[in-house]
Amino acid sequence: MNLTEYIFYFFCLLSLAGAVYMLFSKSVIYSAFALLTTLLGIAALFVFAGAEFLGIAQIMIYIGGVLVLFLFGIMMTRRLNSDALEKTGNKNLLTGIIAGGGLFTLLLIIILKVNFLSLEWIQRGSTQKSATGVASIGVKLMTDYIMPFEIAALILLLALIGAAVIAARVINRQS
Amino acid sequence: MVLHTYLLLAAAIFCLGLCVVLIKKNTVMVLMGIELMLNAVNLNFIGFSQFDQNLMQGQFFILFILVIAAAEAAVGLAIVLNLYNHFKTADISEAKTLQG
Repeated sequence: MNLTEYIFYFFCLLSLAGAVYMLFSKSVIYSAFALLTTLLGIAALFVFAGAEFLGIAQIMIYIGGVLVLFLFGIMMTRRLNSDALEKTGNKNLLTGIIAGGGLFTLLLIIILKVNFLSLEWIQRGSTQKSATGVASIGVKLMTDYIMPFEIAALILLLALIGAAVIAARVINRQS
Repeated sequence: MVLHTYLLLAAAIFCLGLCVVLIKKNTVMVLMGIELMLNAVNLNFIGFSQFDQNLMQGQFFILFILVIAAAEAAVGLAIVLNLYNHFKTADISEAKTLQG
């Protein structure tokens, strides 16, 4: 094993540890920061798979946007007389563990049994390595994927307006 | 084997996210669990996209999933704010007036 592989497995462990901590933590804010480490590790794994643009987009959208939104959500749904750190309880403990563990066992069996590397297109792809990067993503986004791109822009606009309208109703009622 | 590492990690994170969604009581925690599951799916896509360097279909799927996840988080948190305003708690098991 060389240094690159050590770094790769370090980021794998980082993202896994964040997810495990999220499940076992009682504090909502600590869970939000555990989610941050998980997202950071996944962004690093994107870079390892040759998708630098997606790694940067992951950091900007998730860590810069979605996580700050979650912290605002935690802040605004605090009980006024509670502790400084919002706590969360558990429900459906048995059902959750059975569903999660059962699904993981099923996926584990499938992943270990199926030989993905014998697929024809994967063998073809692992031999031909071409230089890809931000430039080719931009070109493809404006040619092959122009329709989904426009629809995504429309969905973002609708979600922005919808979220503002739904949240503004609360603020109007409170004042 | 790099592909198997990606797939196993994605399966583990997806199941942990499912557990968080099913077990946690706080509504914001449930939304965070959904984000965790979406990220696990992204890991699966990127694991297979390494072998598709010319078309990059997996990378574009991830790009659009990122957009949908951001929109989902914004609308979801607005709904959570409404829920909190109505029930005066963020506990999801307290909101049971729609229970059949």
